[in-house]
Amino acid sequence: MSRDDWFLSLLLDGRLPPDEAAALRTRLESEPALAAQLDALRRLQALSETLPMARAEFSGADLRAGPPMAPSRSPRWRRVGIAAAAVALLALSHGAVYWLAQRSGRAALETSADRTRDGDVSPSGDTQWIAHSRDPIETTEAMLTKASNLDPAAPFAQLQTELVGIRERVGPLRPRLAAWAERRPPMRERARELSHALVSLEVAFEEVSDPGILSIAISSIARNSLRGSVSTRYLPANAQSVRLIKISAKRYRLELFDQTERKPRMVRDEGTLAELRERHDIQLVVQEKD
Amino acid sequence: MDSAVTDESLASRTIEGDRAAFDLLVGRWRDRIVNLAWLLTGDRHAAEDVGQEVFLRFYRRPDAYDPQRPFAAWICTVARNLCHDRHRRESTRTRYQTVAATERRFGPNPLPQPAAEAQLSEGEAALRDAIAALPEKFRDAYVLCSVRGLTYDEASKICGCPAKTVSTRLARARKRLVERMREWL
Repeated sequence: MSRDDWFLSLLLDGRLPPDEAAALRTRLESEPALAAQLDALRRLQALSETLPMARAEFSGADLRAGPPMAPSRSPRWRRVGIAAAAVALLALSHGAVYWLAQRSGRAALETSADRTRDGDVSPSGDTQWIAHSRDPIETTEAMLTKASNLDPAAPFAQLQTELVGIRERVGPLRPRLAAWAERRPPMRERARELSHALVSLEVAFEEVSDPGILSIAISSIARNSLRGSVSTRYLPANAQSVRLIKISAKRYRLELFDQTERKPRMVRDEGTLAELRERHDIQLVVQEKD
Repeated sequence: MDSAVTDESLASRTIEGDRAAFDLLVGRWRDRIVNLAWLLTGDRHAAEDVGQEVFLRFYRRPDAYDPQRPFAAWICTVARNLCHDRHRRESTRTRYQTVAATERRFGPNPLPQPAAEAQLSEGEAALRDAIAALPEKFRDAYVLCSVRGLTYDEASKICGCPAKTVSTRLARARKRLVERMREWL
């Protein structure tokens, strides 16, 4: 940046000292290039001042609806330490379980070839991750047998957490399910509560050639916001994400990232749960905590 | 409640537990904060999140604000810091992108968008994109001074740097924007 650039900017803001401003104005009369530079800055400023402003979609009352955050009781280093220890413990326990399963010859985590034969084309990484969340002894054949005994008319079982219940529902999706064989139990351990709401999602896309229930594996939760990735063996890849954000007392924002089609797409929409349900063919179950 | 009541006074009353004062403060500041965040993040939806987060933080821990300091500078600083935190988080994750970036890749969103966003002209949209593409420090200076109309001194308190530094960053930001926006100027 040259000194001229700086001085022109100061002149535009009326912050250039009078003597410097006078000298610059004299130069502007004799130097068209400099004058053009100032004109461009003025037009930029004019455009910036006409940028349309948004109206916020929340009020103080909306924000107060959530419970106040409990004050922190431990110093930051301690919280970080506890979190690190928890992560390390989790990693160790997962490793140990996996090692034991392999060693005892019970590792029935399906190979890629098995899954392909069974109609599952998920990459091994994604499916294996899901496989960890259920009994590794259960083979695909056993699942098929078990599934064939299920009553398709029966609703999903209601799961209870300490504070609220989550009802897994199939509803209108049921007729479109190609087979019940692959129905897997909800990944309960992945469910978490938001500060004032519990969100459970089931998403179905008409475009998917082999439709099924897509379970939401919640990966992280921030205040008022749930982020998760959709993981199921029906899909060609663990390639969808969903985010449901509570933006006011009754309105939610839904963001879907779907690359199961040839052309990936991102969909963002806002509305009440009923509206989102209708527009996106999505089952949304949100239970507010009292 | 009287519009002559200062923000600082409302903030003090919020600290004492006056909910009506909090509501009034939110009413006064929400649009400004959301718009500031929109400019700093380049994402209208993210701006709404940031706006809520700013006020929630204040509601949950009002004593974080010192009533002896100007409320405007404090709340803008909180908003700016949240925008930067968010930007850093989001930049490590490609899954969620700005609306502009998403639309460049996937085509326009077929769904109805919030009113202000739908009304953007091409030039305005290009300017928002150009601002969002500025380096963080330049973007702060441009948004605070040139768009929000703060003085160099006010912006320097929010950015935590001398006023002269703000003025040079602003000049650099303007230079880059003029180059990028040549087609619309």
